[in-house]
Amino acid sequence: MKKKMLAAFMAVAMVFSITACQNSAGTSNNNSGNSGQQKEAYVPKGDFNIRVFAAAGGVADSITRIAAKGLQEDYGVTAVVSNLTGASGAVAVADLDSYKPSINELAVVSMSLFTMAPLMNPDIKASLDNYEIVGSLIRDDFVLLVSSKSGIKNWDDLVAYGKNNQIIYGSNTPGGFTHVVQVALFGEAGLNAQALTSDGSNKDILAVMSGDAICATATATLAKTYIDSGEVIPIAVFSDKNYTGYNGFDVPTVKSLGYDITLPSYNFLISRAGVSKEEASGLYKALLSYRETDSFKTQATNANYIPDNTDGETLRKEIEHYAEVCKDIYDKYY
Amino acid sequence: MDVLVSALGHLLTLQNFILMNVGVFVGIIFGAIPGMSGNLGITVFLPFTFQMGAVPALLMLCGIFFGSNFGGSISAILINTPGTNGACATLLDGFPMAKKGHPLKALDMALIASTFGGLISALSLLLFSPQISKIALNFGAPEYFALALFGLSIIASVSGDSILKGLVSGAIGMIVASVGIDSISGLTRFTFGKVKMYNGIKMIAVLLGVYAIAQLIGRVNGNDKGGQASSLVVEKGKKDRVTLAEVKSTAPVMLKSSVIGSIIGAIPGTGSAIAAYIAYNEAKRTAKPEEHFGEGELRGIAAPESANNGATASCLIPLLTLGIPGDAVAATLMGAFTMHGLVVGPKLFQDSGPIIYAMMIGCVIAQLFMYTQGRYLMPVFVKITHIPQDLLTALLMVICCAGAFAIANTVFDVHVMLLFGVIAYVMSKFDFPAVPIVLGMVLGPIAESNLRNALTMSNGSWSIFIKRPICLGFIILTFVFIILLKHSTKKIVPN
Repeated sequence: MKKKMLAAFMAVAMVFSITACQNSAGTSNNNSGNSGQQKEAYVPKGDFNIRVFAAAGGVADSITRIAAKGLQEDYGVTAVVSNLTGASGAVAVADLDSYKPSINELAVVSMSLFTMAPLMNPDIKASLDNYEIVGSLIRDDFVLLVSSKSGIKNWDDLVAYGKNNQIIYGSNTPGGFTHVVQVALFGEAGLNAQALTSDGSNKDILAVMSGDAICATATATLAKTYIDSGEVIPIAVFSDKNYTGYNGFDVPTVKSLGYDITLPSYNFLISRAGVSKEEASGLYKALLSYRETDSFKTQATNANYIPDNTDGETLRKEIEHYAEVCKDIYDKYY
Repeated sequence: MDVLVSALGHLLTLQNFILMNVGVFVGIIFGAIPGMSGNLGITVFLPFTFQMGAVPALLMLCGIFFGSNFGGSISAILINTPGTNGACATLLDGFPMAKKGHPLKALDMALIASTFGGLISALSLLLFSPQISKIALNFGAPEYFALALFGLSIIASVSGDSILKGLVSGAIGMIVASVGIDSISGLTRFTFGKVKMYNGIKMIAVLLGVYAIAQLIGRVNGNDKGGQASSLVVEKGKKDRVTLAEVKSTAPVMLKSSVIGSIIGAIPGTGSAIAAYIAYNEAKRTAKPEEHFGEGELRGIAAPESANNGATASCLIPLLTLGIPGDAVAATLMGAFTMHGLVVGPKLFQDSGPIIYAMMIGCVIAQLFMYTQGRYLMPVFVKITHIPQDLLTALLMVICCAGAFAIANTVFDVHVMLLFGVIAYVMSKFDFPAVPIVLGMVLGPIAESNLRNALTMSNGSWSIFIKRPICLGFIILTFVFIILLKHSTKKIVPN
């Protein structure tokens, strides 16, 4: 009986210790976060916890790990990357919010968290006001693709197809940007379209290749290998400028086709509001200086990663602009 | 030929062989500890590979992948708790055999079957990637739905005396799996305003609860229903190993299960758990009257273990040829490929042929390393059975809590695990089987989302399910299986 009591006691103690482990973490910051009085140039120090909204292995995860490695290499700090997936980063920032504001407590999130996600799910109350944007890690454009075997060569062909058929398009879950841009495009064009949803753009492209979907949207970087292989053709880009990054293609903007839909993908680094601007910009400068090193360039080349250097303030304005774009689309089509 | 010569040049180095062994060892340990999956092992070790070349890095990470799938069977057999999703079906016969005093034999069978399945899978990857990838290309929403339906029909054979109770358990699993953001509508379901639930309930947390916590509660209460927590009486010596005759008698089951695993693994989004259950079910369906599945039958270990390891290397096929990760581990490996400058997808073999062939040949060799390590590590693992039950109970509680916490570094998953432990314990009191909960959780979301996507494709017409040959094949198979089961007198006694 005593042994059973001991076993039960140990079990309860374990549960409490783990609970305490999480709660006490909220008070264990290495740098005083919100001093706001630092005059000297900020140098990264202490241990960094970086939450990333995407699963291990994806683009966001890879570029976060490169950034973490940069901090470790250049400043000798420890940078731990945790994948807290779900709800466009809401899960990751919920964890971030449980910590006191500190430049050492960070999260990598997508723009969707502050634009589309709160519209789709009222429980997500993420506001840009509650966070300090450190800076952008990557920016990408969305490209509309069709199968090379479909006989469709451009937007006009797709419109002609859509006049006689329902357009089945591959996209992520409704509210994801690949869904948002296509809903808006087909809505503006007055075409009858339905989404075939999946949990990844690779699968959307596969649906196009197999003929289950007539078109799909993916980020320009992700689509490149499929376009280079000749399996799919890019017919439009949701950007301000034509996309010329593919051999043999000058991809027109949807704007040039008569539809004012521009929405990029941004993954960026944030801390809680209350962290000083000097610390946030200092950390971003540290990351930017790492981007000049051979180590970074090798990794970036390997990962097919073109970094984006948009600073926090500029990015904040961009996000606010795209939040309005998303609101318009949401009100009209969701 | 030049590519192969170049690949062997990349592969045959001492560093590669050492790292493969390191990977396999780490994988076995991560797989054997409940909650610590191979995926976690790969994620932890990924940063260490940044400074390595592509071939040694990928070989080490693949070694972790393969090792973890075998490792998952160790805890399934010895403590009735699957270390990984893929080992869920292994415990149906693995633990009963261990309870009979043959833990070493059960582990031996799991190792042999794992190696067999792994070899078939690795050879499929090496020799038939282009052909098998076409299967993946032909797998659309209707086919996924039909496959999931076929998988769900297995509930009927693992429900024990009451199919109704099995269906209730399966329905609970499906409801649990529906928590989170609906992938078709984007709306939330059963989240109760909690953002942490947006990502759904984690499978491994439920597994730990249903299998480990429920039986720990039983032990503390002193009512080990079904003997789940009985002390193991270990038979020692050479006679507790699998004999050559037993290997020969299980070889057909291993071959069939390996092929099932390799094909299922190559279909993105399915995974080793589905492969293991389907293979187990097939082995049981074709069992002879003297074979007693659910009571410690060797084939009941051989089938799921061949299948879940058969699904390992083959799940790299859609990743390498189409750029589609077959499961969560493959998705993490995709990141590793990317970090080493290998762009997975249609051009991979053209752009990086020698490196990829080196890795694929290495995958075959890694299976042999796994077998060698397993042989020597098994007696060490079996020592778990010597730990006094009271101490083991407390130790397992600690390991399970740590494992659940490690899923996403959050105590939420610990709470989920404990909750499902209590639910499963109460259900076991009323003879509701646990296996259908797992099946419902794994297959429910696949069935639901693909049913809706298929109907989107057909504009609402159900005829799409009979117009597509693969889909029709699975539907016929499902009906045939149910009819055969009805006429069969064989029953599986669930855990």
